[in-house]
Amino acid sequence: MPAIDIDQLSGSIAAKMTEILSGYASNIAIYAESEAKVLATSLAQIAKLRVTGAIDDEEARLHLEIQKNASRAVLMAIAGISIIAAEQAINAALGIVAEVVNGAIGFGLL
Amino acid sequence: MVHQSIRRRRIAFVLISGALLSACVRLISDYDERTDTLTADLQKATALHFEELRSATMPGCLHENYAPFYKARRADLSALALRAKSIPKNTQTVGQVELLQSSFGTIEKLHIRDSAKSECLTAAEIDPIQSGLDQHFRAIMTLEIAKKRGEE
Repeated sequence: MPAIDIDQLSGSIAAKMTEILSGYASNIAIYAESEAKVLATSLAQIAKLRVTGAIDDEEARLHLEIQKNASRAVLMAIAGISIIAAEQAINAALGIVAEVVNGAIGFGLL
Repeated sequence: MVHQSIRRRRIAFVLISGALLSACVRLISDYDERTDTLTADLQKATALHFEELRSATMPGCLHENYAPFYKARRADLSALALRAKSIPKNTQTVGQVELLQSSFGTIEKLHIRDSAKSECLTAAEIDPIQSGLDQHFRAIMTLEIAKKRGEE
C-alpha cells in the first residue's frame, strides 16, 4: 500500500480551499460595492429631503430605518454566502482526502 | 520499529478523520424555490404600488385607499416568514424577512403621516423608499440563489 504523503495532501487541500474561497470573496466584494453605491444614493436623497424641509426629523428617521434594514439584509446575504463558501471549501477538501485515501487503500473506503 | 509505528498511526489518523468527515457538509439550508417566488411576487406587487402612488393625486393617494394593499402585504410577509422559519439552517433568510416586515411597517407609517397632513407621498420621497426596498428584495434573492451552489 503506497504511503500517504501528509505534506503533499495538506498542500493540495490548502490550494483547493484557497481557490474556492478566493472566488467567493471576489463575488462578495463586487456585490458589496454595488450595494454600497445604492445605499449612498438613497442616503443623499433623504438628506436632501430633510434639508429642503420636504420631510421632518421623524420622517427622516423613518426613512433611515428602511435604509438600515436594507443594509442589514445585504450584510446577512454576505454572511450567508460566506457560509456557503466555507461549506464548499470544506467539501472540496473532503473530496481530496477521499481520493487520496481510496487511492492509497486500493478501494473506495470513503 | 518506532518509525513504522508512527507511520501506521499517521495513516490511521488520516483514515479515521476521512471516514468521520466523509459525509457531505451542509452549513446552510438548500435553495428554496418557494422563498424565491414569494419574494419576487412581493417585489412586483410593491413596484406596482409605487407606480400607482407616483401618479396618484389627492384624495386618491391617501392611506385609507391603500389599507387593503398594506393588509395583503402583511399577509404575504407572514407567509414568507413562516416558510423561511420552517426550513432548517435558514437563519440569515429568516433575519432578512423579519427586517422586511419591519420596513413595510415603517413605509405604512410614512404614508399615514403624509395622509394626516392631507399630502401625497411625492416621487422624491418614494425614490429612496423604493430603492431601499428593492435592495432588500435583492439581498433575499441573492442569498437564495447562492444556495443553489452552482447546482441546476
